[in-house]
Amino acid sequence: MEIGSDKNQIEDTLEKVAELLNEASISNKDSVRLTNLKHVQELIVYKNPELLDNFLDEILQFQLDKSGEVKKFVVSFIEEACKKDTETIFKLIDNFRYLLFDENVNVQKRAYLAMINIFKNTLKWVVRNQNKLNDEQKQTWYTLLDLKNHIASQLDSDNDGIRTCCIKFLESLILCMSERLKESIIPHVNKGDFSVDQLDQVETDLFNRDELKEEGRYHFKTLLEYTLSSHISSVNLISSICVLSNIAKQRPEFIQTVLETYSKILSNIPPTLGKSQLNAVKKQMKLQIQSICKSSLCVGFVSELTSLLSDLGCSPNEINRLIPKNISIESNKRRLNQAQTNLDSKKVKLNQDQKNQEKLIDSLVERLQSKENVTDLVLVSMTNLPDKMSLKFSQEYKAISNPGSVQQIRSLAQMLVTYIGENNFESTSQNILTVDDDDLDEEEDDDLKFKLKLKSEKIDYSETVGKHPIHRQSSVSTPSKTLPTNLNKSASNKTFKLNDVTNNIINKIDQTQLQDLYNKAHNRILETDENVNRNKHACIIRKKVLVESTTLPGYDQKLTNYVFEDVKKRIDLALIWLYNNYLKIKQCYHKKSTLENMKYKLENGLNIKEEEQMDIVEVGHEVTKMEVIEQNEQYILNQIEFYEAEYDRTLISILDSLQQRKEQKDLLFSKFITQVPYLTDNALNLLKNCCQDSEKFLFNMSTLSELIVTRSKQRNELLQILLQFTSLSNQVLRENACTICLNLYERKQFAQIIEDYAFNRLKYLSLPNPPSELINDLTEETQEMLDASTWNEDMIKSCLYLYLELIPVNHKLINGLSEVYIESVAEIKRVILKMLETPIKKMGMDSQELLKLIQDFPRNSETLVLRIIHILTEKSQPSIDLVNKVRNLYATKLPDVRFLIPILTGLTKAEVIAALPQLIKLSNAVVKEVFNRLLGINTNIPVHKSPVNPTELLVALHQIDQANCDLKTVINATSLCFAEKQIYTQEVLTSVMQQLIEITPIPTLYMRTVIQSLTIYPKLSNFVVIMMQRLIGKQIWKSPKVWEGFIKCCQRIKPLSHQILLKLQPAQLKEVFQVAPDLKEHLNKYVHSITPLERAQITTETMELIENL
Amino acid sequence: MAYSESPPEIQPLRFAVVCSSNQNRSMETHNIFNKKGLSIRSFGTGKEVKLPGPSITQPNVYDFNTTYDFMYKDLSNRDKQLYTQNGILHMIDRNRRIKPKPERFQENREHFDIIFTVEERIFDQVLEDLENREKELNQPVHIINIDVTDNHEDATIGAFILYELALMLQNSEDMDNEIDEILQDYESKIKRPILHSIAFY
Repeated sequence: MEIGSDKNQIEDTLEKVAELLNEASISNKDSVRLTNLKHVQELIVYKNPELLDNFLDEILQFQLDKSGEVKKFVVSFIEEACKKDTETIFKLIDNFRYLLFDENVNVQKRAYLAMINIFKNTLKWVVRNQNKLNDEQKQTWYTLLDLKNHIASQLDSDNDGIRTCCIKFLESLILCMSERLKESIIPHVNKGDFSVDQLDQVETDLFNRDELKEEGRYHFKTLLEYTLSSHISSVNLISSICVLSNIAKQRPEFIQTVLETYSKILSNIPPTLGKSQLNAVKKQMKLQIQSICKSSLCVGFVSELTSLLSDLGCSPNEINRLIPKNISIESNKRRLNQAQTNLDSKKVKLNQDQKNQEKLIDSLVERLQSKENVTDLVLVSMTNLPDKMSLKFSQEYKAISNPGSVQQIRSLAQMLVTYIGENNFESTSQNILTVDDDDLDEEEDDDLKFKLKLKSEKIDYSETVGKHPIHRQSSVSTPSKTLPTNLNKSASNKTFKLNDVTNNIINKIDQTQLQDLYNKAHNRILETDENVNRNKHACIIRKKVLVESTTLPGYDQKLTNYVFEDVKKRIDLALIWLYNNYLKIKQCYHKKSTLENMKYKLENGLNIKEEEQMDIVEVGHEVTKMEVIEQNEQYILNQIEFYEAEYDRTLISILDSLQQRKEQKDLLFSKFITQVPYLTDNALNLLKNCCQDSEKFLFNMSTLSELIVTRSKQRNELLQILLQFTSLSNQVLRENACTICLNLYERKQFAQIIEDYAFNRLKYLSLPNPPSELINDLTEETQEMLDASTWNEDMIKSCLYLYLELIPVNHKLINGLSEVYIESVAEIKRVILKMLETPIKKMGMDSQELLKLIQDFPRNSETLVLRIIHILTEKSQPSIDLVNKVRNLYATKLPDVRFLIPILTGLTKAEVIAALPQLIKLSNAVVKEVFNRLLGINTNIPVHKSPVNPTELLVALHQIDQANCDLKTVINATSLCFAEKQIYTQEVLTSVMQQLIEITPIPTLYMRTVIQSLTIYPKLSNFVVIMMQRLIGKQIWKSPKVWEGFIKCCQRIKPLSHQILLKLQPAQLKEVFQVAPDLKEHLNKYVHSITPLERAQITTETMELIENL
Repeated sequence: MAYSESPPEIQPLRFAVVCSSNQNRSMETHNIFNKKGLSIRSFGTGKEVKLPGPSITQPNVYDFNTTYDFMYKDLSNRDKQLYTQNGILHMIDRNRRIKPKPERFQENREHFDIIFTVEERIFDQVLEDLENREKELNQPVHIINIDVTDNHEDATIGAFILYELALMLQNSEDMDNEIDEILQDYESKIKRPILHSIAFY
C-alpha cells in the first residue's frame, strides 16, 4: 500500500513536471518560463531526485532560450544537480561549457560562480575515484581543467563583473590547492571541501600533490599582484580583500602575506579611487581584520594587526577592544617561535624574488636605523615636495601611531621597496644604497628606476612562463578545442612588444596575404568613423593612421573615395592629409638648410655640433664628411622633389573632385582651398580654370578674391590671375573680375599692384602694333586675336577695361590716359573716345583732376579734352569752374569756338552773341547742336537756363555783321530757328519782328523773316500790315534789299496790301508797279470798289498812277 | 519555438533598502519603489523598533514582531493628538498598507542584487552581517549607502534619490560592469558621498 502511494506520488510528479515543462516551452513570457522551471527544479532535484535523469534533456533545452535569466537558471540548475549528485557533471559538461562561453555576460558570470562548486566537488570526486575513471570521465575532467584555466585567466577581462567573479573563483582554487591545517578556521559549509592534504599519495597518474600546491601558490601570487596593481577598481579591490581574508582564515600559511598585502594596499592606494570609494575599501578591510582578530589566528600577528588597525584610523581604545590584552602579551613569545618556524617553512616556499625582497627590506631597515641616512633621505625628498599640501593628502593623512618603532621602520622599508619596484631587487638594492650615499639628483633617479622597472618586468615574465609545468601539461593534454589555454599570461607586469609578435607573423605570411590583411585592417579603420568620434584621443590616432596609410600604393585613392562618400563630414580628414604631406616637405627643407649650414661650417673650418649631425645618414666609412653631406643633400633634394609632387598630386585630386561636385552651395571648395597650406602652380591653374566656369565662376572668383586677401605669401600670383580676367572680352567674367579688383583697390596693399598692371596694359596702346605680351596674356581669347598683327577694337578694349574702371576711383589716372592718347594711332584714339563716356561721367565735372587736364592739356590731346567736356555737359548744366576753365582756354590758348559749345549755356549773353558768327559757320549739324543747347531742345536738364532766349537769339542772328559772316550762313541759321516751330511760335516771331523794326538800319534779312513768318503763320498778315506801314514811315525804299523784300511781301498779302500801297508816295508806288504790275491791277480793282468818299482821300497823283493802265 | 518572437524581458533587479527601525526611511523608499514597480524589500537593522515618544528620552520601543497595526492602535490610545501632529500615525498607517510588520535585516535570508542603506552605521552593520553569514552560493551583492536624515521630508527626498539611482542600475546593460561609473557620476550629481561595497552570499 505504501509502495503504491509512493508510486502514485511519483507518477503525479511526473505528470506535473511534464505539464510545467510543456507550459514553459510554449510560453513567451520569461517570467512564466522561469517560474515553471524553478518549480520543476524543486520537484526533480530536491523532492524526487530519482526523476532527474528523465527530464535532464528537456530542461537543458532551455539553455538555447534567448532570455539571459532562463539561461542563468539552466546554469544554476546544473550547479544544483551536480551538488546533489556529482556524477551528473559527466552528462552535462558540454552544456555547461557552452553556457560558460555564452555571449551574455550575465550568463558567463553565473557560470563562473557555478564553477566554484562544480569544480571543487568534481575534483573531490575524481580524486576519490581516480583509479576507476573511464575515458569519458577523464575527458570531462580535462575539460573542466580547461575551463578552470580559462576562468582563472579572466583577471585580464575588460569587464568589472567578470573580474569580480574570477577573484571569487580564485579563492576556491587556492583553497583547494593548499593544505588545511589544524589551525584553519573552516566555515561550516566548507567543511567537506577538498584540500590538497586529502591526497593520499604524493603522485598519481592524474595528480601531483606538490604541483597542485605549486599551482595554488601561483594563483595566490597572481591574485596578490592583481590586488596591488594600481588600476584595480574599487569593487575588485573590495572583493580581493574579502577573498584574501577568507584564504587567510582557512589557510594560516598565507596569513602573513595577506596582512602584508593589506598594509601595502594602504600605503599604495590606487590613484583612481575616489574619496568615498577609498572609505568603502577601508571599511571592508577593517571588517575583515576584525574578523581575523576575533579568531584564534590573531595570536601570532598582534603587532601587524595593531599597526593595520591604526592605519585604518582606529583609536587605541578600539584596538584594545578588538585585540584582547592577555593574548597580545602572550603572543609575543609565541610570535618569536612561530616567526622562526614561519620563516623556515617560508624560505622553502618563497621563490628567489621574495627572498631578495626580504633581504632588501632587511638591509634597508638596517640603514634606516642611521640618523644620518634618514636625514639625508628627508632632505633629498624635500626638493620633490609640492609647495602646497594637496587636498587629498591632508584628508587622508593620519599621524603615524608608533614612530621610530621597529615595526614602523620595517613598514617604511617595505613601502620603499614597493615604491621602487618589487622585482629587481639586486640592482634596486644597489640603487637604494647609492641613493643614500651620493644624494642622487631626481632626474637620474627616475631614469634609473624606469630602466630597472623595464628590466624587472622582463625577468618576471620569463620566469612565469618557465615555471608552471602543470598548466602546460593540462593545456597540452586537454582535447577541447574551444577553450583558450593561455594561462601563461600573468595578470600584470608584462610589457607588450609589437615586434615580438609581428616579426613572427611577417615571416610566415606571404605578400598577397599581407596585402589582404593591410586592406582589411584599413577598411576596418575607415569604417570606425562614427564609433571613434566620441573618443577624442582615438579619433586623432585614427586620422593619423589613415593619413599615413596613403604612402602605400593605392591607399590614397581609397582615402579620397572615402572622403568623398560623405565629403561634408570628412573634408577635415583630407585637410589633415594635405598638411601631413606639406609637413614632410617642410621637414626636408629644414634638413636641407641644416646640411647647408654644416657644409658652410666645414668649408670654413668651424665646429659642427653633435645635435646637428642627428639627421645625417651614414653612407660608408671610407668617405669624407663633405662627401657624406653632399650625398645627403642630394638625397634630400630628391626627397623634396618627391614630396612636392606628392603634395601637388593630392591637392589637385582633392580640389578637382570638389570642383566636380554638382552641389556647390556648401562652398566646400572655397573652404578647402582657403585652408590648404600652399597652392602649387597646378592648383593655381586649376583655380584659374574654375573661375572661367560659366556656372560657378561667381563662387570661384570670390574664393580667389578671398585667397588674395588672406594668403599674403602667394598674393601676387593670385592677383595676377584675377587681373588677367579684367582684360577678357567676356563681359560677365570681366565685369565680375573688375568689381573684385575695384574692391581690392581700396586696400593699400593691393592698390599699387593693380594700378601698375592696368597702367602697363594701357601703355601697350602707345605702341604702333600690339605687343606679344598682350597676346600671351590673353591665351583664353580667340585665335583671331592671336593672329592679328595690327590693333583691332577687341585688343584695344582689353587694354583699357581695367584702367578705365580705375579712373573714377583715382582721378589722377586720367593723366596717364591722356599721355597714351597722344601717342596712339587713330584707331586707338577712336576707341578711347568711344569708351570714355562711362568713366568721365562717373568722375563728374567737379573733378579737380579733370579741370586741371582741361586747363593744361598736352598738345595733340584736344580731341580728347573736347570729348571730355562734351561728355561732362551732355546732360547737365556746366559748372562755373568748368565754364571759367574753358573760357580761359578759349581766350588764351585755343581760340577754337568748338570748345565753347559744351559750355554755351554757362556763358553770358554777350559772350554767346559774340561767338555766334563763329558758331554758325560750323557744319550744319554742329549749328543745330548749338541751337539745341541754347534753346534747350533735346536736353534732359531739368531746369534749362539759357543765357539767351529764342527771341534774343533770332534777333542776334539778324544783327550779325555781314563782314564777319556772309548772308547765306545767317539765312541758314535763321532757317534752323524757323524749323523749331515749337519754340518759334507766332508770339515769339511777333516779338522778334517788333524788336527788329526798332533797329536802324533795318536788318537786311528783316523782310525775309517777315515773309517766312507769314508763310508759317498766315494769321500774322494783319500784324505784318502794321509793321509794313511802320516801315513806310522809316523810308524803307532807301535800303534796296529790304525794299525788294517789301514789295515781295506786298504781293504775298495781296488783298490787304492796298492799305500799305496807298500810303506810299507816288514815286515809290510807281517803282512798286514797275516791279510788280500785278499790284497795280489789284489796286485798280480796289479803288473802283470803294465808295467815292473813300476814293476822295487818295491823292490825284496816286489815282493817276493807278488809273494809268 | 513560440516565444522566440517577443523581445526578451528585462529581469528586474532585486532591491532591498535598510534603515534602523524599518519605519520611516526604508518604508518611504519601499513605498515609492512599490509604486514605480521595482522589486523591493525593506528592513531595519536595529535590535528593536524605536519610535519617537512624548520626549527624546522616552521613545516608544517595540519588538520587531509587533505589527504596524498594533503600533498604530497602541499609539492612538496613548496620545492620538500628539502622534497625529508629529506625523507618526500617518506614517505607520502608510506602513501597514504596505506590509504587516517591520522586518529585521539580520533575520532575513533572502538574496538581493542591490542593498541600499541610509546611514553609514547601518551600512557597516549590513556588511558585518553579510560577512558573518555562511556563504554557499558565491553570488555577489552590492551594498550602497547614501545618508538620509531621519525625518519625514528628508525621507521622501532620500527615497527619490534612491529611486533614481535604482532606475539607472536597473536600466544599465551590464550592471556589474557599469555600477562603478554610475555611482561616481551620481555621487557628483547629488553631491552626497556614496559608499559602495560588495559581498558574497
